Amino acid sequence: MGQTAVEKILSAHADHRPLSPGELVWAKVDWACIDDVQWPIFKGAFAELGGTVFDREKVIVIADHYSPPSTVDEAHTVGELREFARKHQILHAYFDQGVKHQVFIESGLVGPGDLLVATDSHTPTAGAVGAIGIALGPTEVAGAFVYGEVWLRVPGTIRILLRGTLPPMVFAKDIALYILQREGTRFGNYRVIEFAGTAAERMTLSERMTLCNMATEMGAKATMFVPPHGNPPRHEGFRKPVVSDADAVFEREIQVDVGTLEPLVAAPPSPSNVDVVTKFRDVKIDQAFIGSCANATYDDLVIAAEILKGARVAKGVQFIVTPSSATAYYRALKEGILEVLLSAGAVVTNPGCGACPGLHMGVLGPGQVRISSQNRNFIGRGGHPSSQIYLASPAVVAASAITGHITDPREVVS
Amino acid sequence: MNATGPVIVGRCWVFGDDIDTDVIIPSKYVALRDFTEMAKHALEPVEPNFGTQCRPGDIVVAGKSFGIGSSREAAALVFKVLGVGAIVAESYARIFFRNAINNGLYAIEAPGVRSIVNPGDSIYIDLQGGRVFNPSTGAEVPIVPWPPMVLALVQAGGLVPFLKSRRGSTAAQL
Repeated sequence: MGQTAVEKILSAHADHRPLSPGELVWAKVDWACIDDVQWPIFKGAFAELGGTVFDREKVIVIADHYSPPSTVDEAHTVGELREFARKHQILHAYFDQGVKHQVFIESGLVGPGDLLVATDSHTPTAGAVGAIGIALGPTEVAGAFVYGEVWLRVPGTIRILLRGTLPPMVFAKDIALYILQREGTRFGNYRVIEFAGTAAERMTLSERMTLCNMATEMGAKATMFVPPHGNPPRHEGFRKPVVSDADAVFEREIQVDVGTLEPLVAAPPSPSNVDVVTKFRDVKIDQAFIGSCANATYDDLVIAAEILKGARVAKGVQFIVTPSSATAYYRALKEGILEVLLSAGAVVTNPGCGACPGLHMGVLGPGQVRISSQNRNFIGRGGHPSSQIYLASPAVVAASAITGHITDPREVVS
Repeated sequence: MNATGPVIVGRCWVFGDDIDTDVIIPSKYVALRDFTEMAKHALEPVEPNFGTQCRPGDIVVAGKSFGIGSSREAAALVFKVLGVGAIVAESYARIFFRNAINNGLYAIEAPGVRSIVNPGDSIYIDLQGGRVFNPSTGAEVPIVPWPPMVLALVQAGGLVPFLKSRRGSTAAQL
């Protein structure tokens, strides 16, 4: 019987025996990452477990949520994280470089066949380059820092087959929102979601990161993306991708013809509360946000700039752009993308998580409404419990910034 | 309540489906470095009094996908800080479940529990008998049994003592 890609990768990280779903194993990790948010709990567990790092070249330290700090407690935490990285001579320590999920991939650290654990629910984004990324809490990641291994239950895999060609102004985010609308937020719990099919093979890295990122909202423990058709991008070429066998057993297959999709929006308070963009025409916005690990890559900034070129942000709307990484920021700067956004009236912030988790650089007040390229819209996520977040592609966000209400980008771009 | 006590008894707080981690502890409070201060804000967006009126031994009852959302372990830690005796949910999001047991919390899965419990009821959680029982109505629902691994983790008091004992002996294998 064949194995799925994730079963093969986990087998290679456990005792090399072919593993099946449901088995409990201790797996050796290639990468373990602690971030700023979870540092205060991590540090106690790490000290209690002996306070030594199993391999200083395989652990990652990153500050992305509190970058730069906006409270004394945040500054204290980031200061301790810097000191920890210095003391243990940790090779991969990132401060002010952007969100971890983009940094892992764009820096070339995480690649095909790797097993990564990190203290961030969107760690499954690593499936975009064929790596298993699993989110764990800081106590478990402290265990991984000390011992280099974690316990895992081998998950079953759901395969989502994407075929067809995306219509104009319909993007990877819309595919994710469509799947959430159809299948809800629970179907992927404890499972891997594997994206395959002819449409998946043609997707850019940015699109793949968006889909794998949004799989977290589907409950997925990890994701796996079919390798790109033809020549893989430079940073993925140095390791051979792992693919599922032809006779691998999937728990379920979901078919999506992406050619039939329209621009979609998820209304609060759930990423699965989805309908077509035109249903939300009457929703006036206070803020438009392009940011987060879901949709703020260089490619996403280009999509926004194409819509905003020569236009102005509506009066009364605050338009915030937070590139997901310093790499995206710098390329957008060099290629004139930021100039287009700034000319339209955007506030461009430093890279990082930005306003997404409601900590800084765009917190929402009572009753305020945000249209956002981020991944979740829970109660109070953006600040005040009565504030509201609508989720959509960067194109919908850009079009809405121009009009001041939620807008179909096909109406703005002729 | 330690693992040798087969029955957990407590007063219930009852919540709905999809109680996410941003609701259990909003990001701005996760940034607080004083865990006691942080715990006062637990579940504030949906039950502003919970963090200050929850008593040690109280039980949190919830619906499906309890703890959906982020990986913040603070969402489990606040219940530990408040001395919550157990969490009983219809189902859990996986990261929250791991964080809860890693902190030695009794995170118990009992489909149907919400239909037999009203806020303020006292219920019995009979771990050995595998049931949640409401003495005021006589109603009960079964508990989904934990795998031995989870039981061993919680009985050890959480992941840190479990890992230490695993390293110290060969007894705590999977």
